[in-house]
Order: sequence, then structure tokens, then C-alpha cells
Amino acid sequence: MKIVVLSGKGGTGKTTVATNLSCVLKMDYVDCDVEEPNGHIFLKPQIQKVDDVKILNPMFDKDKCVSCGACVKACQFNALAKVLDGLTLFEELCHGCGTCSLVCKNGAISEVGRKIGTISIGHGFKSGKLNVGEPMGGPIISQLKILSKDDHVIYDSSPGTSCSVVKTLDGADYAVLVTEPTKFGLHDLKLAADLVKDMNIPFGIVVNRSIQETRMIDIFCEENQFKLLGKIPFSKEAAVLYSKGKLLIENEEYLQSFELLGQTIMNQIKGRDACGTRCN
Amino acid sequence: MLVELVVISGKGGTGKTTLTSSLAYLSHESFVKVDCDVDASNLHLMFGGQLVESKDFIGAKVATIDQNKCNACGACFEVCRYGAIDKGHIFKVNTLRCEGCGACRQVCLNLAISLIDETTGQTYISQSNKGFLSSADLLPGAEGSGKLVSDVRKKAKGIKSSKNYIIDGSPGTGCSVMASITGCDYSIIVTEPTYSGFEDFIRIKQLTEHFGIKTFVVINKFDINQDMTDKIEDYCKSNQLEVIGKIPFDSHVNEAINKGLPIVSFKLAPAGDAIISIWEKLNRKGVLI
Amino acid sequence: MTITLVYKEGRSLKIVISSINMDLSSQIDPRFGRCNCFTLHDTEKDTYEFLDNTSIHQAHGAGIAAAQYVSELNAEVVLTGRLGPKALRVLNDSGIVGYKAEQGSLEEAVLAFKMNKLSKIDSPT
Repeated sequence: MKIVVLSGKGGTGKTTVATNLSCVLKMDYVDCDVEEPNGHIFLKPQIQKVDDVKILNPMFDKDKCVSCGACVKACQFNALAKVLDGLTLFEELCHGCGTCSLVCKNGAISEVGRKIGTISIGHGFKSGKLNVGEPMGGPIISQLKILSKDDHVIYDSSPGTSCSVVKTLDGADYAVLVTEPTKFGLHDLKLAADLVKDMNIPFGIVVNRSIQETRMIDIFCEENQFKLLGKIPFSKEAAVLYSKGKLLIENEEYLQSFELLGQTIMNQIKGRDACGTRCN
Repeated sequence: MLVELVVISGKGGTGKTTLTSSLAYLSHESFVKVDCDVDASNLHLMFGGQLVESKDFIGAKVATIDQNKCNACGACFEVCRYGAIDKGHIFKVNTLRCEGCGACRQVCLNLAISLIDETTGQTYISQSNKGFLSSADLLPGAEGSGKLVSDVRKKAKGIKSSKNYIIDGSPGTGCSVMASITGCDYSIIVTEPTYSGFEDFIRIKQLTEHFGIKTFVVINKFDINQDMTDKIEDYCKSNQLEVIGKIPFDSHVNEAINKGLPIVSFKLAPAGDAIISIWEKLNRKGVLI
Repeated sequence: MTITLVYKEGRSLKIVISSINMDLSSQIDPRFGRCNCFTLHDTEKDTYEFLDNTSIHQAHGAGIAAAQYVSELNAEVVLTGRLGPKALRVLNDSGIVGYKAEQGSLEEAVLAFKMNKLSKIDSPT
């Protein structure tokens, strides 16, 4: 089973929800926010292995290259340029697609792996990290998905609705959209909801840092017939626990909130509502 | 000489847009506001005004298979590294996975595959009594966020009356952020005193060093964890980074956002006062004139 | 690779200028990769040719694409306001030198270059 936790807006509590849920549901946690991974801070896993993630970049054999420029023309990303003494590769633009080596009729292009980041693996835990200065985290997310394909996993995605989030969502059984009860939160929640609907992934919404009086997300869910899975109440205790890098479930009240949330999500996935009666 | 100031955060939700919107509010109307947070653009909620221009944005190419020419040989499937060819009775391109590299087109002997432009967003120029705003929306899930950010900045530069630019950057450290900060004169990193915030702060600071930009630091909600705030300040001191301001936790901030107002427009809001001090400091240093 | 180029009267040279409009009255476009268009000046024939800049539409690497285009025109000199690191690298590696000209008309820029008044673009801006 694959559950993805995402949010339109950054900082709404994606990682808070993903890490605490993974504990109460006893599922593996995979951190796909490869530009700013944070899950390890709260789960404090013992890392058993760190793998390099490489992207394939072209390498040119000067003896075989006839300077025809076919590879330069074929590259859709302008990663290649023909210059006086051969070819220049702009690594940061290279997508590792292999098109250049496909078009070379002289066999002058081979491919070499270049490290763009790492994946850390612990018990029930995986986290990807993109090297600072590298623009594309996609290959790391793809590798994380491959490594966890046989497991029951909660994926923590990056904020927003960009291609990184799409890669994380690809193939998910269920999506948990985390939001906060503010105007920005609601605006960005709509974007996230559009995305998961486009991808035909069943989903529900969690309101984090919920305040009793603020019902804007409730109303939004009612109007659109979206499932409101639960609310994690705002409190100073929670803020302090979070700032110290601790799981919210260390607090008894929050443990109960997350256990209920976990049950609700499982019921949704299995097609029953919270009371246990079957629903469509 | 026009100055470009970008506000970034590494971690999302630290208060980047809260700060940017207030700085934009305090600035003269000749300062162009630039919303580079294209995945979740929010500045228009405060500075939208009248729409002056709206343009389609072509962010990517995608492959498409002409079924009349396809003989289902499967060569495209073999060569695609992104799993973007759905094979079966009919071969189709999965447009969400397709990166537009054209490898499939190269190997198709029937010339059944072409690359077509994909509209993946919209750019906007709008005008309010606070001046111009250049912003954009990226279609959910679409590619090309880096290029869209570049477009938003380029459009801002095309505004004739512009004096300086205040840019709301994207969260993270990837291509969107890099496109937000490249060529800027100054950056402000907004961070928060939490373990996650601190780790993310270190990474985004490395990125600004990589780009060689003069960088200031603002600690938001500094009073929720004084120990962490001290740690951040010590780190900044040892790394020759100036902490230009500390904003206290203030429940008025949410109230302001929900009313579509920048916090500095509220009287007696501690966060607003702190931002005004930051603004005054920036002016004294000649960052924004 | 360091290249120094001193213009000598009568020397046959192809110069590319990043331009705003496609006519002789045009001002310089200070951008290179995404400038509106290019003007190709042949010093021997004293002609000006106006060319589209298709690199504007490139997702990434507009500077690279533009530099490649200039190289294909067999130009030896580029007059422009600023060059990014990638464009500068491609130009240098192709034996093309960039000179800084941010404003003014096309003819003013060419004249300034011929009088050796323009400074070389050595590092990216």
C-alpha cells in the first residue's frame, strides 16, 4: 500500500503528518522531499546504508567524433554545444535521457554516471537528498520509488504541485492533503486537490494547526464533497515539540488524534467510513 | 542601477511571503513585485489589482504518437528512460511522465512520433495602487517551473516604470529557486528556530554562496525557541552572515493574511513593527533606495 | 584560451550585435541569450543583416543556443551588454570574443568597437 502526503503550500505540516502517521500505522517512511528532507529529524533512524544516486551524462570520444553536430541538434535541453575543439556538455542541463548517444552514427558517445545526491536507508526508513546546486531531484525520487516498491509506505513529498510531487504521487493508492486554516493554505489546497484529481488518486484532507473557530477548510470540503479526514489542533505544546525535533505523538492527546486519523485513512482506503459501514 | 532583492527560505512555511508582502507594501509603487513561487503563488492575493496582461506559458514539450503511423514495434518503449510509453494494444505517451527528450522520436522508423509544445502555465502582469506585480501560475503537476520563474523575472524587467524588484522566491534548493536567485543583488533568507528549519537554512545558505549573492538573514517566530534562535545567530556569526532582523511570533499574522493584508498595515502588531525595522535597516544600508 | 583581438582598418570581420529592432535605426539590446534579434555586420562589405533570435523560446540554455547560432554564422566578435557564464563559455571555446556595449545605436557600437573603445567581456555578468 502506498500513501503519499502532500500539501500545496509549504510549511503546513506535511512532514509532521507523514512522520507521526508512519509511527501509528507502523508503515515505512520514505522522504521524497529531496531538496529539503526533514523526516530524519523526527524519526531519528539508525542509518545502515548510504547509496549514491547518479545521472547518466554523455562522454565524447574525440577520435570517433566527426563534429557533425547531430547530438547538439537532437538535445532538447541545450545541454550540448559544438565548440572549436569538440563538444561542451553543460551537466546541469543534462536530463540523462540518452538521446545524444542514440543519434551518434559514429559511436562517439558513451555514458558515465555523475553523482547528484544520495539515499540513506535505515530500518523502515529511506530518505533522498539532492546535492546543493543540482537542479533536478527527479532521478532520486524515481530511485526511492523503485527501492520501496514492495513495501507498505508513507511517502513524504516536497511542497507544491511541481513535477517532483507528480513523481512522488505516481502509482499511489491514496493521497493525504495537508493544509492549514488560512487564506494561503486554502488557495494552495485547491491546487493540490486539482492535481490528485487529475491523476485519479483517491484523497482526503487533513487540517493541521487547526483552530476551533476557523471553518474555511470545512466549508471548502463540504462544498466540494471532499473527505475531511481529521484535524490536528494548534497548540503551543505542539509548536515546542516540533521545534525541538520531536514527534507530536509524545503528547498523549496528539497520540490519540493521530491514531484516529490513521484509522480514518485506513477505513477510507478500504472503502468504509469511520463508523465501519461500507460506503462508495 | 536597478536592484533585485529576493526573499527565500529553503524550508516552506517559514514566513517568506509574509515578509515579502510587507516589504512590498512598504516600498514605493515603482518597485516591481515579482512572485517567483510559481507552484503556489500567493502575492496576487494581496497585490493583485487589475490584470494588465496574461499569456500562455509553454514549459515543456511532450511526445505524441500518431496512431495511423504506429506499427506497435515497441522501439520507443525500449528506449524511454522515464517509463513514459504505455505499451499494449495501443502505444500511448504518458504525458505526466514524459520529459520531452525526444529519444522515442529518434528510434521510430515509421516517423510516428513528434514533440509538441505543451502549455503548462500562465504568466500575469497586474497593477494595483502599489504598482506592478509579475506573477504566474503553473498548472498542477506541470514541468518547466524553472523556466517559468525565468519568464516571470524577464516580464518584470520589461515593465518600463520599474525602479527596483522585490522577489518572492520558491521554497527548496532546486531549479525554481536557482532561477529565482540568479543575477540578484541581495537575498534575505527567512528561517525559523526549529531543527528542520535550521537544517534547511544551512542548505539554502550554501546555495546563495554558490551563486555569490550578498545575503541577510531574518529569524521568524524567534521567540518560540530561544535556544534554537541563539544557535542560528551563533552560526550566522561564525559564517559572516548578518541577521538583519528577528520577528516575534504574532497571532495577528494569520488574521492579516486572512484579511488579505500585509502585517505591517496593522497597528500595534509586534511582527509588523519588527518588519518595519528590517525595512529601515535595508534602506540605511542602501539596499533598496 | 585567451584571445586578444585588435581591430585594424580594412580587416574583414563578422560582428554580431544583440539588437532590439530589425533595422539600422535599432538600439542595442543589452541581453544576449534572450535578446530580440541579432544584427550581423560584415566589416569588409560594410553590410548589415538582421536575423531572428529563436533562442528566446528555449526552456533552458538560451545563452548556449544563441552562442551556438553566432558560431554558425562564423562571427568572430559579439557586441552585447552582458553574457551569462554558459554563453560566455561557448563563445570563448568557439574562438569568439565578446565586447561590452549596453546602449546606443548599432552603428555607434560598431564604430566604438573599431576605435578599440569597448572593453572585453572576460567574466560572466
